[in-house]
Amino acid sequence: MISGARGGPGRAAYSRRSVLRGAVAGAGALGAAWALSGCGGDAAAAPGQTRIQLWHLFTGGDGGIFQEMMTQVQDENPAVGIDPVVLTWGAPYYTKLIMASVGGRAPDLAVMHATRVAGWVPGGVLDPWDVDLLAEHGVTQEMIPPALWERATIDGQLWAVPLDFHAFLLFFDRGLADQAGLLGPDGKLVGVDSPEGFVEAGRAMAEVTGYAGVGYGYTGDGAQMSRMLWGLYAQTGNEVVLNPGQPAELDRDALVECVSWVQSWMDDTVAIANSDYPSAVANFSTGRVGMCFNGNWELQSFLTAGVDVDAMPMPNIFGTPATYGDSHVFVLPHQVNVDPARRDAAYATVAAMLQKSLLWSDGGHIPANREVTESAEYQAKVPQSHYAEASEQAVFDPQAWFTGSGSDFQARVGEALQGAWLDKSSPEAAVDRLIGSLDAALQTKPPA
Amino acid sequence: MSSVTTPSQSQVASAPPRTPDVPRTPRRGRSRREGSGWPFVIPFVVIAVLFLVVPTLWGLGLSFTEQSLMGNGGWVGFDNYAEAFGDATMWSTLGNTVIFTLMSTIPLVLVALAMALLVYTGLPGQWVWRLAFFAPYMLPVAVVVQIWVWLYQPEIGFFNYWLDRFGLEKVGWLTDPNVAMWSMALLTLWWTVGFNFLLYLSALQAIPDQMYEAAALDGAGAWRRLWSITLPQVRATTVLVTILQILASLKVFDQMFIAFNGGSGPNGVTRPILQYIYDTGFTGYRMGYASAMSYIYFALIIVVAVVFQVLTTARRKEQGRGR
Repeated sequence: MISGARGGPGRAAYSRRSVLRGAVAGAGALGAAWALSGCGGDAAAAPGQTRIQLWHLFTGGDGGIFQEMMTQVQDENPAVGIDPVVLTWGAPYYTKLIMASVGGRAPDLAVMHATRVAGWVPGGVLDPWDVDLLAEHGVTQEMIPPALWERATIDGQLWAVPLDFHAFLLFFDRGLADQAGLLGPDGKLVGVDSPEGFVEAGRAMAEVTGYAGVGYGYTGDGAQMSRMLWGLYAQTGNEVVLNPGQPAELDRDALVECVSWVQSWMDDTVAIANSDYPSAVANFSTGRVGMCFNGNWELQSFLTAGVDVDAMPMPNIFGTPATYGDSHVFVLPHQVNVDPARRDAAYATVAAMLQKSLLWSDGGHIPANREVTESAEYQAKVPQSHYAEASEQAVFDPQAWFTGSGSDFQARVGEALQGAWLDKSSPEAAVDRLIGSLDAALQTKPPA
Repeated sequence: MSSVTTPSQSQVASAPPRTPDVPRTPRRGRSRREGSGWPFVIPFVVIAVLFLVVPTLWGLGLSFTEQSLMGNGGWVGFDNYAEAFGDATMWSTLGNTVIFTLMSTIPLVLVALAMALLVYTGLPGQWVWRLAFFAPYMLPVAVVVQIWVWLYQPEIGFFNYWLDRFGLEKVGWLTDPNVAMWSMALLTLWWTVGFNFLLYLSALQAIPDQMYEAAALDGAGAWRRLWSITLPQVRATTVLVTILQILASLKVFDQMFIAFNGGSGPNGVTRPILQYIYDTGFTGYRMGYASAMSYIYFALIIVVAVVFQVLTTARRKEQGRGR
């Protein structure tokens, strides 16, 4: 029998006292932790050294490479010390960063996505970069692909310094592509640059693998659907203009064309329709599919899995070369009292990190620094150099305060498109739902 | 009332003992005794004021502003409330929460009762069942969701693997708009039914054996005893379990947030209103508007609680009169 329900008064009193004792002990521990944290701040600063705090979102493989870059930068310039704060990537990263800035504890430097900058500038949580000062440190506009520089510039001021462009690529298995007759003499995929050609290639690949041709994991993942949609849409030569208070300006027919086209090959032969992100990665890693749409950050996991992998920008289906992606950028979170020495150290750090970004390409990302991507060392890197042109044809999420990586809006894109691609519901209805979401978001007042 | 011992009574037992003769003591003595409790209450009051009352009022104030997480914003009066009442997404996510509450509360009460009856009446090795049924409740939500997302995996997950092996159609557990919310309810059932089960089990064990003996002497069979003794005796527990479960289900957030990676599920059908409020405030930075929606939801929950209270006290009075 259970006797727990019969707690007599004596027993209750005892437990109350023990709870109180526990509470006192807990409060004491908290107080001690608080007191200790008060003297943890700048303890490690060596004489003559300026230490800056840098927030970034790189964990896993990226995180190791980023740390190595920071170590090299500090070794070469002992006057600068970097205290990194690593936070897991995801929507909450931005919540934390913005709250730190508003709370007056902004780090000296932070990494964010270029697509999120537009939403932050009106709120005054970022400080603009001084282009002349950047040039003094060796970072100039000519070094950065125009598409990235333009995205980082708002109202004539530079708010972000791009570190990379991370692109949504078409990976392919060289061996399987060769068997399927898709490999040209130069080692590149042939015949994938048209709506029909790509589907045919997928079919040929499916015959070789015996499972499916293309891996594309998107179910429940608004980001993956946004990547495909906005990349293809830009290939039709159209753009999206979003101005708060006005309806979205876009070409509905072009969007329908893009959604219909993807739907046409979600037939469980060219591609498995019900495929989420991890299963698509697994299918490509194990050779069950021979091509795979995914971000360049998956390169290392494919290499680790032993795939004979190569990659190219998004195949040019609709005529205008365009590859979707986003850019990791360095920003200066707003500080009320800027310490000139630390600000200068931040500029120096960014310039040095950009110089070190050959290392960054190990993680699959395309360095924004053209001096790196044009170097012989980078050109020798395969497959990285095979898709580097993606940063010259870069397209992003449509620009608005509510769009971008880790934004809630990517989930709205997913809500609209998943039915069309998975359940084969009407592409027109999907596009109308998407436009409805865009218009609804444009009607709400932007936070500032 | 009946002699059923419920956990609510064990909570009462830890409060200052209230003896029946208290009302009869002189007023002066009573107030003196009440005053002597303050030193014990003050620490709690301070914490409650700091972390409950002040934030609640602060949030109410926020709901009349266009405060952004970025720190700016001014007074907008009732604009946020007006916007919320016309916000289709708020109503649809509220609908999702209500649907989840219905889908989860009914099985969570019935299955818990069935499990408690099985364990109480028949199954040997009671402690094993007690442990097995309660163990999932001890798991953190992230672990539970991780396990179930694997089970629900479309191609190689446990469910679809076996459906496929038996030649049945695979189910889009997390991708079919008609199924996704049921998947969340099923996960929640497995996870939390153990708590309700324990409440029911303790209620069953508190039913005096004499009642069953007397009924058996009168020739009542097992089913008659179940309907006429057991179920009426656990009625108070049913009310308690149902209220607790409705309130817990209305608060749903974690399961969906983790299972769909902060997304909203197929067609947006699994996003509960609390996630919409969270998304609005912490991802969209519109704290003022998020506060207004919280208060609308808060008001709705209070209405539900009061209606439930009125219904159950009315029924109790009826029973009292019948006795």
